[in-house]
Amino acid sequence: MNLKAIILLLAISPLLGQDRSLVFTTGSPSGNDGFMIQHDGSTGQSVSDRFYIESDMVLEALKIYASNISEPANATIILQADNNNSPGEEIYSWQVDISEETHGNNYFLIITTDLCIYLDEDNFYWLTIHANDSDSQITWFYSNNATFPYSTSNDLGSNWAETTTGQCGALSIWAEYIYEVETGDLIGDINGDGAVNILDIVMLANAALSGDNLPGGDINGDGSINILDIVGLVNIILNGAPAEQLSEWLYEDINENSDFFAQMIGPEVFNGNVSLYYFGKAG
Amino acid sequence: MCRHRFGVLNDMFLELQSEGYTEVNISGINGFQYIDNDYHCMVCDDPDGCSNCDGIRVLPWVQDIDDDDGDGVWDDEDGDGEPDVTYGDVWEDWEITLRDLIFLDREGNYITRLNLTSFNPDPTALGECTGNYDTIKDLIISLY
Repeated sequence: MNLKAIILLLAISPLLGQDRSLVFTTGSPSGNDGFMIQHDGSTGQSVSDRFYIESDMVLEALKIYASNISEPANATIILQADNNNSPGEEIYSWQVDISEETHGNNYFLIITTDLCIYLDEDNFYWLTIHANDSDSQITWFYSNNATFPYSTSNDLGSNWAETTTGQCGALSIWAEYIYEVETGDLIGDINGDGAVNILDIVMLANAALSGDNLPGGDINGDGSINILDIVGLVNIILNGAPAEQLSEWLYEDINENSDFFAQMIGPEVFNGNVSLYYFGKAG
Repeated sequence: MCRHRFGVLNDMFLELQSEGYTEVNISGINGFQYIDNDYHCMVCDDPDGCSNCDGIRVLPWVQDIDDDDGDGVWDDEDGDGEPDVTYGDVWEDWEITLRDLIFLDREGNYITRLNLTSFNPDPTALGECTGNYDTIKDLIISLY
């Protein structure tokens, strides 16, 4: 491994060490067999892996298990949206000479932390490799398991074969989750307009009279919708929704650089302030 | 480099203070299951001695204690015959998962929780793309 490769690995090792941001992986390949990626100007083979994203994320890195057959081995790596279970619209692409990027390993890395490539929740995406010219040939090593969806193309992605499940091109993907702050549903917001007011009372009264099941209408949680729920909703409008209180605790601050060092602290001590509690693991 | 979550929160706290949001407290609570772990690299009181420290941290750090009988009532866990000064078992009572961040408003009302295991709040890593750091900070300011 040359100096450049060592520096690159040292630079990204904290990133790739975070298994919590590994969102897709086929594992490393078991051997040296793989897809031949090439194109002679009229026909050839491109391959695309499909992967699933469960939450909104930002792409961090791609680790593609491939090696060059030719030198150079110019390839286009494309991240694509899904189009009816085939690779679709291009999201981003990278031009790579794989003979330069693998540094004697059976993989190369693409770091994307400064690109802000967003992946949307509950969507499929595709990662494709095309050969750029007739002189470039690449092996994309097969995944160890034959459980991954992929597709192939003979015309540089103009048309894709039907997606199959088997040994795809070995690949790992890292991404970071994006917060979606949930502060809970607004109690009493029967019509879901973001406010609790007379319109919710009217809707709840209609449900109480008709016997209709109304989501969120069982204000007092007794299993039925009736006049007691209407009274409860009126109280919420007049006095506000009951707040959720967590149990109290009181512990000694052991950080000598804190303003509260050696003092007993807990939620009650911080009443009057906005307070946050981080639950960590020392060591 | 990936920074420690507690270090990012420490930076956010200092930033809020410098911007005039002085009535904000952020505290860390070590799990009872980690009671034997050395906490010095969590508070970074000797930053040169810990690879994950980029400066001294000023946030309070406390140790959770287990309420052995699980009855939700704090008894005499230290066995001295008197009700303990400390009480809690907050990891269990608050149904905590490692790296949860709990938000309370000024009245002590529960607002929400985020789990920082998957969500990286570090703006020097991907935070500027994810917006996670600003999301947390904006939520604090909205409660202020």
